[in-house]
Amino acid sequence: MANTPAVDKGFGKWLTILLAAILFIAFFITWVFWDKSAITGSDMPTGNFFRIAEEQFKLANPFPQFNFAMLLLWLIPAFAIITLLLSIGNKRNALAASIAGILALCLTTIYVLFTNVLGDLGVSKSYGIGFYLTIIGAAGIILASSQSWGKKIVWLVIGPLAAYLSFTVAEKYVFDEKHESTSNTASDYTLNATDLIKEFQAGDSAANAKYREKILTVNGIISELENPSDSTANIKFTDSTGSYAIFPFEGESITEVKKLKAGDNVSVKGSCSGGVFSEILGTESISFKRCVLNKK
Amino acid sequence: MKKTFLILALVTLTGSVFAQRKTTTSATVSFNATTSIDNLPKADNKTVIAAIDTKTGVVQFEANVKSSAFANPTMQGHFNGDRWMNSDQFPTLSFKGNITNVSDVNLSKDGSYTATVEGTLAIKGKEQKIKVPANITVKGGVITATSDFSVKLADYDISGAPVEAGKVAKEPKITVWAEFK
Repeated sequence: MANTPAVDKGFGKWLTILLAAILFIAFFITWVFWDKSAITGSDMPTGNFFRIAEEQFKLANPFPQFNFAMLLLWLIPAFAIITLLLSIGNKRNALAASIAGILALCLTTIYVLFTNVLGDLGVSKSYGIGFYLTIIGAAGIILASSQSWGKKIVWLVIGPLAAYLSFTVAEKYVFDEKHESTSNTASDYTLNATDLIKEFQAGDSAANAKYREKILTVNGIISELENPSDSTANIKFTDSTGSYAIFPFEGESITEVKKLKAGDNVSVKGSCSGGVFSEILGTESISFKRCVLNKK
Repeated sequence: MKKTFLILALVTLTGSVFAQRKTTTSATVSFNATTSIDNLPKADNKTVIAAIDTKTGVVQFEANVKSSAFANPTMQGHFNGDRWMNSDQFPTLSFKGNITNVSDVNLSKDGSYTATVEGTLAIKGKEQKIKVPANITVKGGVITATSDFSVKLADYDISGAPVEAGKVAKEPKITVWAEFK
């Protein structure tokens, strides 16, 4: 404690008040632009950040189970205000300023790294005034706070470093990620093959909106087993009009699928790729991927 | 009597015309855009619809783009996204063409043939003329066709930073396999 600098009641005080105010305001104004979408700092704890990334750019939060932790980012404006109030009252502000500054620098680093990934995907990007003001405010209140220079430097570095390491781990996770095994995934819908085909025939736009990329369990009588080989086979359900649903198999189910034949009653599960009207066949074609045979 | 004869003749003629055309709903199209720095952009589509006319050599393919199965879910999302295949708006890709050396390829007779197929490939609403080699084997009435070729992404208005950064090949390899019974 002997080395702790005294509280600055002069220029340093008013500088800290100004920087804390900047940090608070900057949190709510634009940090980055992804194409035409303006993203603020507060969009991370509100969930807008990953919602926009997923809806517009197909880049979802890889760890949605940790969404609750994003709420901690509200500490940035909260501690910016606390720092401001402590400074006005000539109180020690080191802890509050450090928390606000570290979190803000951490978040700006995440924004840069994530925005670079979107840029790699072809999204146009630019940084808004809120981003630069946040860096100035965050670094500024750490430097202006009443604590030793050693601590100030550690607090300046620790946020970006933690963000970079976390992001690198998350990026590797996304890169190495595989689809969840269909066997271990609950079905969104269970229905008969004839009903499924009928629903697509009645209007494939509505059926596609309902079933695409959903996991379906489909029960029916095999009309044909196509291309059975050591590594792959397709089970097909066809209705009286020639419209059909088709399920390709490989891997874990292939041994059992190869034993099947036309006329067998089976239950299969897969990710629905949707239905299209085939110009070649003149029928509705509903296809699936990542299929497994359900145990009877 | 004359009318009955005409109908019979029409039915017979129609039957023989359709008998020339063989179809499958289980052709495979593999897409490989991997590069030395990214091995994720590759997928197989195993439910491709295909047809071949054994007399005229007309060849057709039609694929549901969303049936392209990637191992990596994020890559699958990008592939279907509006910057790439935009599969919500353009759900199918298709090819229609002809075997240009049809006189060298007897699809009714057992044997192995080297064919050249020329036609129009439609991806993401863009049509391009392509000419590709194909190997065709006929055995016991079963026709098996394979073809390896590449397409230029730029021809179909597919571009962006991943292509420029070398994460996605500018000319992905396409492998087609179809068995007609």
